[in-house]
Amino acid sequence: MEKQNIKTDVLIIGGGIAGLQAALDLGDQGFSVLIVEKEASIGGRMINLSKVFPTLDCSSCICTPKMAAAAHHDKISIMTLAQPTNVEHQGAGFAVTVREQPRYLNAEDCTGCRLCEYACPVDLVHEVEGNLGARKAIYVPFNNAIPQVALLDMDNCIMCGACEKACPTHCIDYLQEPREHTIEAGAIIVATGLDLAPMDVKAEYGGGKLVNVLHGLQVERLLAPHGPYGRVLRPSDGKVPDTVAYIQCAGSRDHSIGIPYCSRVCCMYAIKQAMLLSGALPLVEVFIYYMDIRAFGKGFEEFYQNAKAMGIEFIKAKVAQITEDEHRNPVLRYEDQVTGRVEERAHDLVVLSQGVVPAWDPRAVLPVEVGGDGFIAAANENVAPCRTSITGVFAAGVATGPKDIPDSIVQAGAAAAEAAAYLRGNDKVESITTADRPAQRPVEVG
Amino acid sequence: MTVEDTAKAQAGAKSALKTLRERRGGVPRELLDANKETVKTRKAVIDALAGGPKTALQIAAQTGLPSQTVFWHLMSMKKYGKVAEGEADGDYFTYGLVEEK
Ligand SMILES: Cc1cc2nc3c(=O)[nH]c(=O)nc-3n(C[C@H](O)[C@H](O)[C@H](O)COP(=O)(O)OP(=O)(O)OC[C@H]3O[C@@H](n4cnc5c(N)ncnc54)[C@H](O)[C@@H]3O)c2cc1C
Repeated sequence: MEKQNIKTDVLIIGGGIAGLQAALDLGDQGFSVLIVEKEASIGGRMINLSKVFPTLDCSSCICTPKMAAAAHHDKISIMTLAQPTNVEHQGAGFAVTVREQPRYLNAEDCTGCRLCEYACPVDLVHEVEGNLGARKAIYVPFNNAIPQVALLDMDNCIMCGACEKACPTHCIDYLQEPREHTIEAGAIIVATGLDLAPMDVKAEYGGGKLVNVLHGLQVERLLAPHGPYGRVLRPSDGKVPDTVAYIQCAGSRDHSIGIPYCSRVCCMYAIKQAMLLSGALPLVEVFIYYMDIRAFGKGFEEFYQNAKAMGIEFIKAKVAQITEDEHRNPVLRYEDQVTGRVEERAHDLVVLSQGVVPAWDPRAVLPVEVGGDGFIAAANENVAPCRTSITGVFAAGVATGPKDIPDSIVQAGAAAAEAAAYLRGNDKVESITTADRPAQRPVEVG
Repeated sequence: MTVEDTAKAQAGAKSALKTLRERRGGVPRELLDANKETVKTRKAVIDALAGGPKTALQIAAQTGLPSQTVFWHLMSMKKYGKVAEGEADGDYFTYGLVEEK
């Protein structure tokens, strides 16, 4: 395996909005930064959301400039399809082993023209589209992916050679191997973000087998301008849904599935999606089945009240079960908390507000302390929320617990400031204002 | 790229593909089977559309394929420019073949 040594002031694990913000804040101060991202593009969840609550601004329009700024920054390097596999203390910093998966093409020569993708005969479900849309075995991950470079999914390649024939720059390299890098870094920021609890955690809700029961990220794609269907349709037959139901706390605040905490963003994204659905489908009826609505942030309560005024129906109810009728309409059985009656109602489409869970358990690679909920624990939750149990390792974004985009960005800025102070040798908060600040980054590992 | 460069690149890729095939011991059986199934379904959908635009449900009724499978194929073909969305028929859109240029 090819090996390479790279030196950087800060290694950021995860290129979502939190990792990007931390990178920009550090890069702008003159620190060298390497972002290691496991997917083929940076941008994390945000780049594939439709619009953001409570402003309803286009998510990718806000995220793309940050991605581009990081990609074009002199001080920031980005490695995609890469994950850390080992971290060791070395001198004043860390030696991190990173494994980079091959794209099976020379990224410098790929122009992102997608001719290979059009030529590839293998049709597969597209993970980025929540498995709703299609991709080929060789593909550019999505329209505004950075880098705009294709990757070949070797596990599904039938080795027909069509991509190579179609490629105008002949950049395909079928024999590429994974690469291992040793990164010498002064500090580390973990910004590995979120996953959703799997759809099969609750057998009562169909165990992930009901085709018209989706999770929130899938509906984000349905609502996005370049989504899998180009409009809001349901997956079982392409019907324009007349009624859509949201089930809140479907995989959160539930001890039985090991997610006792509140995922914090579900109330707001359900309300947001309900509004967007009403905008996209003038005749749709949207129902939100909830236990209580948590609208704690700036502008959130107003957002909630607006949704009610728009005619979104909030039903205080506990949904006990979801089954399917002969038209594959999900049927909810629920106890109405106001009338006390047990009711049944069919909808065209049902969305489960699945719990937010950490995307990465760092412990096998980087033994920072993790809380009982699986998120990275702060060295001190009250006064040092983005320091971890290991000095020199910081954390930001959903890696430390569920939060929305603005909170992730704020914490990323804080983590960057802490890392900068640490690198300058002034890790004590009180000393920062009085310390002599070197104009240049003083810490070089090695 | 000059003509010679292109020829050289193509020859290189061909031999790389051969090496790759040897390394992987040929194309895995499951992949070939899955791909065959996709091609068969795709053909059935295209044949069903020969008479003009249809909804996923209409194609499913005509071919006996599950509507979910038909719809997924339609969406894949739409993405890659093989079918286009047409008029709506009630709550369902119709899809028609795009003429090859
Ligand atoms: C359905 C839904 C809708 C939402 N809507 C909104 C909204 O409207 N407004 C709002 O403010 N918030 C919204 N959110 C919350 C928002 O998605 C998060 O606040 C935001 O994505 C957090 O950013 P992050 O960078 O911490 O994590 P992420 O966006 O998850 O990014 C983490 C990155 O780290 C990478 N990574 C993970 N593990 C590794 C590893 N081991 N090595 C390398 N890289 C790794 C991931 O691939 C990813 O790119 C929504 C969430 C959901 C689920």
